[in-house]
Amino acid sequence: MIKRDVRDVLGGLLMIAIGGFAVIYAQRYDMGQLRMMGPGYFPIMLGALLVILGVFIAVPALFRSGTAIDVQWKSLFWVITSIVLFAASLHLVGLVFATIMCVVASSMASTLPWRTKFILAGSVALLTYLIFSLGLGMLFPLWPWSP
Amino acid sequence: MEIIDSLLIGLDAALNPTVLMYCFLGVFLGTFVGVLPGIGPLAAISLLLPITYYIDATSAIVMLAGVYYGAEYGGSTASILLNLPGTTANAVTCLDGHPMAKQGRAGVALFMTTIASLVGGIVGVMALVLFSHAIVEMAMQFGPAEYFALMVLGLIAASTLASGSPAKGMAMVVLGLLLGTVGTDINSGIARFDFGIVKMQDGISLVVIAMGLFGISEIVNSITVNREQKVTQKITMRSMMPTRQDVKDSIMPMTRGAGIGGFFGSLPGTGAAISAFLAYAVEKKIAKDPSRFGKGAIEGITAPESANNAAAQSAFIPTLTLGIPGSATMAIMLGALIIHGIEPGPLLMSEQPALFWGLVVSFFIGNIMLLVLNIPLIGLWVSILNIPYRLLYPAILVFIVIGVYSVSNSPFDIFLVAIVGVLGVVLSALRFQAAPLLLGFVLGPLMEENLRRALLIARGDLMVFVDRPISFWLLMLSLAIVLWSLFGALRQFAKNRVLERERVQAERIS
Repeated sequence: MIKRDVRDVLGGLLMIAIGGFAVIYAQRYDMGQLRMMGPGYFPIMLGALLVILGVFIAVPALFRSGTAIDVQWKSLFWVITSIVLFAASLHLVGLVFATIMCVVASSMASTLPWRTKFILAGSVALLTYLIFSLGLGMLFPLWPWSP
Repeated sequence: MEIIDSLLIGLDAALNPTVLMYCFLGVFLGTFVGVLPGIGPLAAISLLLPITYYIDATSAIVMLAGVYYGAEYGGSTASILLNLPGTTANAVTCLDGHPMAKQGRAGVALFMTTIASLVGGIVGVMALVLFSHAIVEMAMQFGPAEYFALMVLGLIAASTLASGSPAKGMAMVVLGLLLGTVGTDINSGIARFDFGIVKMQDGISLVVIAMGLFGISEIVNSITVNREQKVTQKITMRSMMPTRQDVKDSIMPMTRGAGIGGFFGSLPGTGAAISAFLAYAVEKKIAKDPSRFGKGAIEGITAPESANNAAAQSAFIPTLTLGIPGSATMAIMLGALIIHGIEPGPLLMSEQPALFWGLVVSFFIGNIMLLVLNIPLIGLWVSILNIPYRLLYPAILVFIVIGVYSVSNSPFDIFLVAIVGVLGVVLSALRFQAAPLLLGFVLGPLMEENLRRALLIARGDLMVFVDRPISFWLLMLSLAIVLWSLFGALRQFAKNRVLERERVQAERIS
């Protein structure tokens, strides 16, 4: 048992931060009037509404107990790393190697023997080539030497 | 006979071999993702969305819809065999389905849920056929003020009636609306929240938002979940045969379930999951011997399975007739229509009769296909349940990034999906629901457009929303829902205070 409901306090603060940011950032757009709204009107109203809702979420949470927040940090790290790796390398080394890297990096989050990791990576690469490149005719650079 | 004529148009469109093939592909993939816990229909539909750029609109929508209702069929398999719901709408099926499996009646449970799914599905489609004309005629009189009010009601119902705190649900809707404003404003041509990045001027793609919020966070949260159990039971055709008593006990529950699902599925906020829970609660309430429930009562699986399939079909009513989706999955379907250049709304039925009625007829065909897929091929689905997740998720992840890349052939969207994915994981760790966010994101631009137009016509007079009766009642209803949930939250808060005080006192005494 934790003294305060940290989850909702943080959640409320996050909403206040996002809403506040939207209000401030959207100041550069013209508000206009009700009869002729400018591009800034809707986002500013939404930002303000989000701040109010954030207060409604965070304040009651200060007065009740809650449970701990659990995040799968290791899974999150490897999944995001594999996505970024794929995005960064696709145009450099092509679809096949980018896929292999993505599969190997993402499977770091689980317990899989290295041999299986590479077999899996190879088969997924083959599958993506067959489905997306050959089957659906999507345009990818396939190899590092492809244009 | 207007309806017969319409259905004939639909039959013509749906029996096109290409459409039939995509219908089969859709229900097949739907059953597949429904069977697998850890990837839901929503992630699967958004995964397929970029692929549909390559096919025509009717095939695309038919396929995506097939994934959606197919998943409701497949979802009961994992519930019964592993006590793990394949989709959220199948959670109730665990209660009586798994005990049935333990008693060695897994085959009967699987057979009866498939039949119940078929009954529910057909009733849902019938509702769609019967009521869509009337709703379209009513919607023809709607102006921008009514549309705005209807969207407000839809979003408020979706965010407060679902599980969790209403304030958090509404915050998600507003965050979604805000994300929807990113990109070039249609009225002034000014790019909003683009942070000086040229690629952001087109806005954030629906695929990126859906994949990031549902795909990525589902994967991250499922990797470490231990699924040691394996299905060892062998399901034979003989073991699937229900007794005469099973059938007799299921007829009325299935009918009631279908009615509940057909009604609640068409309302915003109360989708397949809530319909299934309601159907279960009703059966338990009216049963002569409620103590049988939870120990393998056949009504406990047939009523909710019939309800969630009816709801999956009737959810298309508001989406197709009004252009207003009631759930996150329907929001994606709407997004798919928009991507194919089709303006959703009351004009859809008259302007795209082949698409509209073709889709409706494909529902009938798809439900029959699902019957064939689920009963003789049950062994295939059971063996899929035994594939370890750690072999599956890297492949799903690669499909996600390739799908996102193909939207505009740029790695930029993949970076964006990584950011949205982190947001999704953070939000789910803080117990925010992602579904209202997605709904807000899709409806955002439509809502802003209608708000601006309504006020432009009324010369900035806010009274326009009150003076027009339909819009007035829609807004009053929204207000009533907000007040009701606020009251509920306050009562909960007061109750917690009392409990807290008692706990402190008890601690002091001890």
